Amino acid sequence: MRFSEAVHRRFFAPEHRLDALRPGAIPGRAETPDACVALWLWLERDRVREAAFRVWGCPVTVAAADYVCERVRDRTQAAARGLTIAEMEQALSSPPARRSALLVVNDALMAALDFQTVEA
Amino acid sequence: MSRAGIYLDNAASSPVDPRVVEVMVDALARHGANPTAAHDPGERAADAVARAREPVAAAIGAAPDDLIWTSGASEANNLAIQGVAAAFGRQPGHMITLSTEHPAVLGPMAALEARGWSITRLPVDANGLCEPETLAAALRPDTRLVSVMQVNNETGVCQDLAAIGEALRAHPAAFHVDAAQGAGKLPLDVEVIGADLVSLSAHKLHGPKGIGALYVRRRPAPHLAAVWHGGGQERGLRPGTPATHQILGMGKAYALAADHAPAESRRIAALRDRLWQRLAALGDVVRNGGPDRVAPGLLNVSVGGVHADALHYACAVGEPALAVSRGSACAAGSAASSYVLRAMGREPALAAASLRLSLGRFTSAADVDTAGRAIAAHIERLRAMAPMDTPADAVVA
Amino acid sequence: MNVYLDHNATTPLDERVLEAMLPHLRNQFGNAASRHAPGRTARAAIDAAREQVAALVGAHPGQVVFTAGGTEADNMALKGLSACRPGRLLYSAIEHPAVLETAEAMSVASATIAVDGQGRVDLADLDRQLAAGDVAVVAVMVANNETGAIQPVTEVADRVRAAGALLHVDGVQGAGKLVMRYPDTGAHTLAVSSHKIHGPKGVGALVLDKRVDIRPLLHGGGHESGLRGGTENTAAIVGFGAAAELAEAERAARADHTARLRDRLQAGLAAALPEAVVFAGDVARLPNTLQFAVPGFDGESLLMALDQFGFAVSSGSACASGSGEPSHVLLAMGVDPVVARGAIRVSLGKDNTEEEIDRFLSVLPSVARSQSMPGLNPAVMGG
Repeated sequence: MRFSEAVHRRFFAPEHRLDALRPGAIPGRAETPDACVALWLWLERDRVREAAFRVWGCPVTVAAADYVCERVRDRTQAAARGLTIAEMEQALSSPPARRSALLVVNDALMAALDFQTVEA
Repeated sequence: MSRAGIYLDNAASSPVDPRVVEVMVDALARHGANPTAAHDPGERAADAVARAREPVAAAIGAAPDDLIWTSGASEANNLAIQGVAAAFGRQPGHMITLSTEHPAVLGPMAALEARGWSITRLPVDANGLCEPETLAAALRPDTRLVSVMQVNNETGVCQDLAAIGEALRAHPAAFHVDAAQGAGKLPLDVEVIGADLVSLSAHKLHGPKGIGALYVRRRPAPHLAAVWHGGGQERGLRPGTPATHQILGMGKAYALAADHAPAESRRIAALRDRLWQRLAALGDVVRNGGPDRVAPGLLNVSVGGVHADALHYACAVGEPALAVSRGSACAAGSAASSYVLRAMGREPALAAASLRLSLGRFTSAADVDTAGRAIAAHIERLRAMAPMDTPADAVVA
Repeated sequence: MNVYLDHNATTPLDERVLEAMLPHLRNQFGNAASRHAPGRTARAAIDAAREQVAALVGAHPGQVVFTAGGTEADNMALKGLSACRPGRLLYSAIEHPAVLETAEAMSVASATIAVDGQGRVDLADLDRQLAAGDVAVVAVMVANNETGAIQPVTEVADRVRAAGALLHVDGVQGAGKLVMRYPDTGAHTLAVSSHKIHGPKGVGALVLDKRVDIRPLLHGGGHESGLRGGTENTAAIVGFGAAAELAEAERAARADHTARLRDRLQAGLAAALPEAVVFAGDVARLPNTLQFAVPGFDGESLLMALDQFGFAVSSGSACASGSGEPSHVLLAMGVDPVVARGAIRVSLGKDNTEEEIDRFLSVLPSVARSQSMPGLNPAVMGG
């Protein structure tokens, strides 16, 4: 029942967990009965400067949130918006049965990007 | 198992005591013959099997000949339930059990229900206990069997069997006790509780898998018919070539347990309490089962603020690897929360985020301390990762 | 020095099998239903054994359900199939008690299929009974445990399938002694046992086509794909797997060896006791089995006397020994009850030697004559 090495590593030692809040964060949140994902993006003009997460969820949810934070850093918001479930699944080698975990993380990312759009 | 791992799942299966292994290996090498065969090697095997009955019977205050060897407690439970039903032939009656019983009791009862039997599954209170009065009130004139477990396999909750037996005494229904988790560890006397049928396991008591026994009272004998047929072994109630080495292993396991009790129970209970104190210190960790009614080796906790899968994964494959269970091993394949904890009133998410930690003869103080530290660290890390305290709209500023 | 000649009752455990089992008795104690490392270790060992047992009978691993033995497998098949398919149950008159007594105890209507004088299922009788209609399940064995007579299983299967019924085959005596491939037998379910092939007691398997509806015998816990409740007996299952692999690898050698000894015994018997009757002597038999009687001799007394000399043989099925009843198999073959009472079964194993056979032959005539019942032995009566 061991997950892939990528999931395993990110679950036990995520690098983008939010430790302390710094000002200027754009939040995004998504929930299902089985997971709760909160993401924060720090933007600099069109680009994502920094990203961090908090998760209540299964190991794949944690790993996916950590991956997404890493993936969107230093990219344009448009590029961040283009992140697909398939890409997440491939990067994490996560089982297809856990795709719902990737979806909720992706939803949180989109919520953060949309949040910024609404504010602007 | 992984060398560095810590085994805290003795309620699923316990390491076989080396002294039991010795007896079994010797039996495998020497008693190759079929014990029901009439020739000399066959007779020696039969003698050894007869002697193995004594310590097993003694553990429940029974006579050696009262035991029927089975392939395990699951088969013993099936034989008790299906056997009582078979004795009543084509006239379906009524049986009573608890909603928190083991699948090997609930399963055969559900199968009988599909064939027209009426089954009452009694609720338990928040501590996992069933009041004898509740049970007495559920009795019907056509109640044929009441099945109550001695020690719950998930929570360790011990039912008050003496009081339940007393409540049943005036009723002709057979009283079955699934003692798979408790026999040999806790006192149990078939005369005191008035049990007619008792299921026993070996592999929960540092004995081998694949062997168990059913105690069947001789006077007055319960209405019980054979469920399997062919060969006439075991008072005609259980056919098949007896597995000599496994029977001898079970006998040795019970003899050793008798030598060790009650000092072993005290030592294990003290370690369990130490583990509980370590986890309780974290806060928002609930113990399942009233502490004064839980068997020594078991600790079942529900952990607030962490996701069940994350907690179980962290324990199972973290460093060190902890062999713990989220409930009964038999339900391990399903991700559903424990029906036992749900019956005790736990919310689904909290019931799911539970750990069953079960200690045994070979659990050391160091094991408990290392495991306690590791579990606490996992819980703290996962809680620190959870978003609950930081609602998204509170940080936009 | 004891000589063990009762391998159809049970076989000594092979040392190589014991070696395979030891780690699972000593260190690998996880419950195969657990998801942690010790549990997964047990699960992997059981999966490997499932492949070994499947290979022995030419089945797919997913078709193997482990049980506590051949008796449980027979019970599971008969009761489980009958519970899902209403109709009559037919079984041959020479089945093992695990089939015979189970069939008799079941509430469904049942009837026996006759056998011929050589102890083989009478296909004409089977045809007649199938033609009468309403047959749900038929049970026959691959080879008889007493006479060793090999049964026409594929011919039975063709007829049973043509009649739309289900076939259970008790393969306990055939496994490891004959080429017995589940797909070729035409059976829906096939029972096998570990301790008849130098594996441990307390474990067996029912090989089954999972498309066929069957009700479990043991409920609870969802083990074995929900078909057999109860914690898997890992050590015994691993032993069964190891024994199955050895039996498959050494099958031809074991068969040649035991057949050679059996033929030597039979020739020696004919020379020493010309009046001896060999049962099923004119048909294909298990290579290791010889059942005979000397008219007028008492089998039970002879068995005890041979035991004194250190020879372990059987008067028939060990399960019925001590009952004093003549073998139901021989009676079904039409053997005179007086003759049947004198039956002795010798069943050989891979470790028996020529020298043991010769020693047996050297004591048998005198032991037999000393145990004969005066007045019943035609030789003594002097015709």
